[in-house]
Amino acid sequence: MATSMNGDAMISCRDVWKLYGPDPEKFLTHHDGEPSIDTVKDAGYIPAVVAASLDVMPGEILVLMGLSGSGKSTLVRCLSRLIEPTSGSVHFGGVDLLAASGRELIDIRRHRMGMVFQHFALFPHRTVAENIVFPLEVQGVDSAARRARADEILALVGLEGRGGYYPRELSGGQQQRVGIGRSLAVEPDVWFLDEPFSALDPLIRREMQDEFLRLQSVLHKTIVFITHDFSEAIRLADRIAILYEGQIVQLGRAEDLVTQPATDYVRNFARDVQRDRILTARSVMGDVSDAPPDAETVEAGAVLREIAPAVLASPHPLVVIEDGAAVGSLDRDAVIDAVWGANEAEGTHSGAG
Amino acid sequence: MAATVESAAPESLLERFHRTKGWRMALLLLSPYIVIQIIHQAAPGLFPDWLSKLGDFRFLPDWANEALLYVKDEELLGLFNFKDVTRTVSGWLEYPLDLSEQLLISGGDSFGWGPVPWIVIIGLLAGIGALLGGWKLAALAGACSLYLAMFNTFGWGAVPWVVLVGLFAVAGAKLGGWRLALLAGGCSLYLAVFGVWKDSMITLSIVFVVAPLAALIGWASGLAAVKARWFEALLVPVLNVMQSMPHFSYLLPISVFIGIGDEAGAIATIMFAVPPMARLTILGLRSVSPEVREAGLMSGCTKWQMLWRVEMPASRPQLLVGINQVLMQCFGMTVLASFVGTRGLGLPLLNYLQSLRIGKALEVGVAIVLMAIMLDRLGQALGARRPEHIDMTKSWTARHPYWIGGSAVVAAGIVLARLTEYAALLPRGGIVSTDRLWELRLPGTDIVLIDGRKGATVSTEPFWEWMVDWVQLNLKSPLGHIRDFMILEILFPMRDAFQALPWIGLLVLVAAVGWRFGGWRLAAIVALFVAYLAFSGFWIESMETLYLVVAALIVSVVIGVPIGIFASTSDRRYAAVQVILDTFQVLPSFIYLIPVVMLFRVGPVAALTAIVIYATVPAVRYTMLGLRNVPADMIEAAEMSGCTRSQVLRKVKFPMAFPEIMLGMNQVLLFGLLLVIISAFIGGIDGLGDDILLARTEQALVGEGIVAGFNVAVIGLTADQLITNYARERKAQLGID
Repeated sequence: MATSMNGDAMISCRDVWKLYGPDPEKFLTHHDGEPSIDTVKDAGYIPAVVAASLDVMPGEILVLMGLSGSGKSTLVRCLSRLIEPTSGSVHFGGVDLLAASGRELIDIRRHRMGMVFQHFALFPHRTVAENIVFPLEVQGVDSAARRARADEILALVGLEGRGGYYPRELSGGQQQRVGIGRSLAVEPDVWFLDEPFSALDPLIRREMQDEFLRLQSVLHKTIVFITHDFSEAIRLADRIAILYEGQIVQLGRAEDLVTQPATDYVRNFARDVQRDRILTARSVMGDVSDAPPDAETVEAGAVLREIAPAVLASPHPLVVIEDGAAVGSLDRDAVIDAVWGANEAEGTHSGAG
Repeated sequence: MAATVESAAPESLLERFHRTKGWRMALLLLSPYIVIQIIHQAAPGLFPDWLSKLGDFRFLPDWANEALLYVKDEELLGLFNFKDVTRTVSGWLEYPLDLSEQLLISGGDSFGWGPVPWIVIIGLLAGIGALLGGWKLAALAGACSLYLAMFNTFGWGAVPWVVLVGLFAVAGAKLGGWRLALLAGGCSLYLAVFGVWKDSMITLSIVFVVAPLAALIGWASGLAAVKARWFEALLVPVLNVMQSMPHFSYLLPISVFIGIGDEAGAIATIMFAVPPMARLTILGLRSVSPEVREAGLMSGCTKWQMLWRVEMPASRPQLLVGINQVLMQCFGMTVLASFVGTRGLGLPLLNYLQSLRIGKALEVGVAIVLMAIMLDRLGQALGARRPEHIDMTKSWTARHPYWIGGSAVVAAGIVLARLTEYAALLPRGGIVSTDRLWELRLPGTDIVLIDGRKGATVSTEPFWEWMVDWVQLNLKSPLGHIRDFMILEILFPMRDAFQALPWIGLLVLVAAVGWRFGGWRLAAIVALFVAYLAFSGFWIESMETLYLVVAALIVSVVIGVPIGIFASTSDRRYAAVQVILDTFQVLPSFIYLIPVVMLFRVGPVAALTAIVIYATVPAVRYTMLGLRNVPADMIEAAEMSGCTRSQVLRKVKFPMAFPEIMLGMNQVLLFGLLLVIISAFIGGIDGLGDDILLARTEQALVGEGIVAGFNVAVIGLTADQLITNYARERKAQLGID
């Protein structure tokens, strides 16, 4: 990965390490900052984050995806400096976050960051409205302005009329709406969401994901979203980073992970996804010359699920166009292969579906 | 386990020893001790005397005495005199104690602190209230101090009893609905009507002053411990020792430095009530979930804001539990502090017990019980309250019914008290006039249950006297037989056996057990403890105390474990027994002496009975807890394997619950140690309690008393170390926490 910072990125981190153990700084310096995982483990250190580098672009939803213990929570806490990284650099909106003083850090958090937590982390002694405007309160915003903001946020997250309730009087989904509301109260540039929907029932989870997408379509925040659920990741993400034992094993669009998995670990995740919802015409199209010039057209960015009926109904390949220009062709076999025949093509066990 | 299977190397003797279980291990641990005993008995020549009995060492008590006298009379570092410092502190306490007593019972003619005008004090109190608890607390503090100010302005007396009873009821209603209102109102009404109003209000006035102070100190030290590691390292061992010291050990040094009286009792009470608050503060702050903490940080809290707006409020439930404990500890200790002349409910109880007026003692005892229950239930209800949203569409009056109710009670009560003095202050119990106006008889007999005399409050003494007489008449001879049998056949032989123990034998035994459960470190610690006991100059007394506690432990287990098993078998029984245990637990330990004195008068059986009543509570509780905590699927697995109910109990539940039951035994021992000292009061037993009690009256013996009190703590700590280590290891093996 590149070692220089990406100036356009909202968050940019390079070579971030977080080790737990007796004296991690000394250990890292001793190994010139790049020990192998085995060296780390043999020395009795726990590698929570290993040489992580990534850029989060403005307005992008980046999902950190991994199983429990993969270091995704630690990584996001390094990005927000809730946890002090052992080494590496983190830039936030062009500011060197790790060099920021305590006061500066508080200032950044007060105005530019918002975070949603897995178990909601609401303050039990505060009403919903008081929870939501808590970040404003600690800044010293006066109570009239706070009340006005609380009403706005309550409307935004769909909790009108519940401002006077206490968290324990609400359902899980509603509580997380409060958590979301609180994290948005200061209109942050960056929105961290740490497994926000994992503690919810599947139906509510689905509803909250829709709600999240709706909010993002209005707010256009820069988002770092953590999940252990691959289908949630592909549903929400612009890009996905897969973590394994503290390392980012692959970072890319959902489609890339499915079509070009970097490791077996990633392939295992990608195996059970509904490929027709992810793969686009672009990723499975053949040569443009295969299609008759007068054939119907499909957009390169369209997912197979949308265009499959047209392709399958057509006796000849269709033309794939991008920005009005023909860039490729798509026939029945390509679609069928991509959606249903992929497992065999990869030589792994073929499932019934 | 896997490692032992894989390793081909033969098992060492040590490893085999560590895997030995059950009676075999017990035998192994006992063997060095048995060897010592055999040598001791069979070949006395081989066994030097000093290994069995140490000479009469008195250096520790003497040192303690000299140190106390030095600290008391000399100037420390040439700067200040310690006694002056303590007297100054007690001087500070005098003012709030006076004030709160004036407010509740005695009335007063002066308010204002030296040159500070009362209006400033009112403002100050209300301000503190506003700072700590918002406008509600400010209003409360303001109202109280305003009332006080009325003393000299309008010549008002203390708050009329009708107001206080009404306020207790309103508080009960607010915190726990009409049941609690009835309980609190009823209990306080009993106090008012049955002639113990003055004493109970004096006790309450002391509690009102010391409980907030103790809570504040405990909270501050808990906070400091959480924020500074070194302070925690310092504080926690001190808390451990403090909490295993018997109540009396607090009274002794206080009586030296402060003298006797209310202030002495107040200071001892504060010291006694600080440790639980400190512990619960630490626990509460630690239990704030990391996510909530992070949410605070991500909201941009400064350290100060984190503490006050996130950590403190989020640990509120634990803090409230702590405050309830402080309240109950303060109440119990204030009652007990009558031993150093603190007034209140304890003093008459002490006097009546001493003069064997059991009926009167019972009446006061009931008052203490009712007050304890009332305070505890109110405190618990406060702690159990969770915030609830307020329907803002309702009017202000509908939203604050209890404030309005409370104000109405105050206003009506004050008016009523102006109209009739009976509503203001009931005359103290006791006979003012001999004309009996009315009486309540047991139907069909001429036994007077309650008599009402002119100018006096009603008294239940006749009823209690009648009960005591009945017991004496009908139970004296069977009880006497039981007592004589117990003393001659069981207790005395047991005592002799304990006192015949060579100290080196006990040391080796304890060290062996310590080594088994906690390695060399634990072995060294507990061996050190036993060695201390041997050299403290109170070996014989310590053994006397230990024997009584062990005897009580056995009886408590025999009674408590079956009750615990029985109670654990259904949810209803469990809930019912839980309520009973909770009630027993909040009663000041002093109370347990009354029925015992009634049944057995004095002597070791009386003491034993008192300890057993007191210490059976944890035996039942932990047995119940242990059995209830056995995972349901494990029991289902046993049932599906075809176990009968008794097999489930014996083969699954009991082994699983055993570590918890052992922790219960630990508690039984600690409880027993606390009460064995108080039991010394009823006489007839020697041991550490006697030395502590003697020290209360003889200044020259205070050193002895303190060392004896420390011995009690050391016995408790030894048992505590061994048992908790065992339970930890066993629980880890069983995979339960």
